Amino acid sequence: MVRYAMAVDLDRCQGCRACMEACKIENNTVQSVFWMYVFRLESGEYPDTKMSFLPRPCQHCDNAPCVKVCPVGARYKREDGLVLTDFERCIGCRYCELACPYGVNYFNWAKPEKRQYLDFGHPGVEAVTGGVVPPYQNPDLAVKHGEERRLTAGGGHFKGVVEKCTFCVQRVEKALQPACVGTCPVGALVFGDIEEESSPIAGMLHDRPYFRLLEEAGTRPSVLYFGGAPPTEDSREIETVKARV
Amino acid sequence: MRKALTISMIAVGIALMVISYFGLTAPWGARGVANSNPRMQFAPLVFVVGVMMAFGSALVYEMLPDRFDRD
Amino acid sequence: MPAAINEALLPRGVGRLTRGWTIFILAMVAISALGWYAYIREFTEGMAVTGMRDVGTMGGATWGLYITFVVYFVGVSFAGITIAVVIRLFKLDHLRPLARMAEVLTVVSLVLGAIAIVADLGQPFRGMINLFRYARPQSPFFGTFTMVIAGYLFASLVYLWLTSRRDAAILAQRPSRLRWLHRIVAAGYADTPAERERHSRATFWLAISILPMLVVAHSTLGFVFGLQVGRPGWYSALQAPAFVVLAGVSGTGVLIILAAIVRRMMPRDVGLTTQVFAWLGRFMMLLLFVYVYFMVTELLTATYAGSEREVQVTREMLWGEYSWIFWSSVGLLVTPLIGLTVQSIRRSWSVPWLVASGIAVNLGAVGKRYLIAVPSQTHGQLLPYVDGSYWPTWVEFAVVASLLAFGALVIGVFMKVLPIVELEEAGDA
Repeated sequence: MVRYAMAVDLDRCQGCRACMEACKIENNTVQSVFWMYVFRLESGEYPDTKMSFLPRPCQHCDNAPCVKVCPVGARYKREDGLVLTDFERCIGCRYCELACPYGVNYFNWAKPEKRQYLDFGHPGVEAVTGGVVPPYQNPDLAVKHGEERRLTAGGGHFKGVVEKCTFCVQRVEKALQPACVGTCPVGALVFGDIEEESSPIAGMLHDRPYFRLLEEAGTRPSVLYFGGAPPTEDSREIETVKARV
Repeated sequence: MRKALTISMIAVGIALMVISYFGLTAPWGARGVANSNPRMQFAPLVFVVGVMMAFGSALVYEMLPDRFDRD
Repeated sequence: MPAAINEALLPRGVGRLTRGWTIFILAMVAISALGWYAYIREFTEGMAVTGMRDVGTMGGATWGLYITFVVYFVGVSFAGITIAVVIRLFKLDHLRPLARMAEVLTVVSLVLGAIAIVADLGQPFRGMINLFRYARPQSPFFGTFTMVIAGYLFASLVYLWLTSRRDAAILAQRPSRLRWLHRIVAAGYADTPAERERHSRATFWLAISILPMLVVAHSTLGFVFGLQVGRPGWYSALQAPAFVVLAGVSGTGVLIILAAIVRRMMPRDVGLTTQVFAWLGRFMMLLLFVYVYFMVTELLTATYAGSEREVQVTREMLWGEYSWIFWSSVGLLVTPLIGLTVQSIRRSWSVPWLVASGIAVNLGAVGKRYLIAVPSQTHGQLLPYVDGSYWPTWVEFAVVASLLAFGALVIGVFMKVLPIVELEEAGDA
């Protein structure tokens, strides 16, 4: 039985946030939505401050509170470990967002626009391309995925529904790596099947100690952190996220 | 007739509630995708109808015309 | 004599549309219309027109004023039917004049709560269908949706109808423009001993079965918040009981206000004596004592020990950004409690003071509901996000105001269609 998990090597992560960029391009998310987010943290008092970086995708928890609370079953966990959102069924109550201890959910507050890659319907695009080269739309984002045949890939489809990191379900089903994993220049992100003994992630599991975020919440996340240390009470972000819808 | 109808409405209402809650909505203890889908679509509507039947029996009990009171 | 005949036509002011009433109704319609406009903006442009935003990186609160009022309205509805049922079960005949307005309050308040939930959905039409189609009982929200909105609302409507039949039958005997409606509501009621016996039995059993469902339904609303381990300040076993108690407080407060207004409006004495208000005052006082006990327990626990995040949320409430809401809500709940205790000890009750207490506890209840919802979102993130902020926009205020106006409008119309105070046994016939 396949069981996907992600390993984050905090000793390697340099806070470049290329993974955030790749995620936004692959999944076509709108402004101020960060399915993959990298905390740039500092702790301690000057001059003894320490800096650290903490990538935070959706944790795809085994005991996901968001799955438990969804009133209509739009948020669900697959047998292969992915926690996905059926954006056709979602009623936009945002209960999953509140139940999640990690803050990975994003609600489409307005008609989705200002995407990272391209707003396909934007009138300005025509002026640039002259209509000759149609902008690239990833066709995988509009099709049903999985044995369950539900619309779960990509973000910013329409207003009024909640979305979050899908471990790039559209890529995983084609045996590709999620966009963030594929992009990381220092190999800080590793993705694979932890049940498969020969996979790199299973190897990391056996060789090195790891921790998971907010273990005391009982969510049993599928994202494993190697090296580094969990954020402490003293950790604070170096800069704030200015963007809001 | 009146009493029989009332009691049967309550019984059917409660039965609908129990059956839909435990048997027809999203299965309890199921893992994976099954946990997010009801066994029968509109099972919650059945539940609500059951609740309404159970309470609606009071309406029947009071408002059934006297000519049905043969027993 | 002509005035007496006019008034004797339909008792309790039914059918008499005074100028004051008409102006009031028009004002309520105007406010409701403003709310409709605001909601249409929200529906077409998306919920970005509200002040709500995502928790986490966006530093907002994703549930705000709407959920505050969902909880508030469902809470107010609790007291209405509970008091009506208590009057019935314990045969508190001197309180009978309260029964109908309490039932009406419950029904109206629940409808407002349901509308407020729909207003808070990103996909409202889809929501209304998908909830009936796919709702999962494993979600705490299932109880709110099925038991509260569908079950308890329907049960209260049944109760209201059954207890209104007799009065409607009496009114249907007189010619009036509303006779058709009175006949429908009366549904063939004949004031025979057999019918009265049936009515007594039916309402007794209805009353007994509604009460436990009420407590269950309200507790599930508390569980919506109390089971979320990821939200410091929410995750507490006290949420459900505290919800139920504050619901009783605020509902009784609204009932006091409503009873005072009705007493003013009635052309003559309908039994809403100071003793009736005193009973309501004592009921509210007892519930307030319990609620203050819960509040103190929660505060002691939160300030004595807690995770850093819980302590932070508590700090924001006591001394930080939310302190003004916190302390004014506490004041609005504790001051009436002191006043009620004094009146209770001296056994001298003042209706104006009771009405003021009713208003105060309701404002306090809204504040407390807001404090349950918002600080845990803006300041209760378990990961090191920067603290957020939330303030409702005019859209949210307008929608909430229109809900309140709509409720007042429905009650106002009800008063002119059916007697808001039960007709006495010997009949105003």
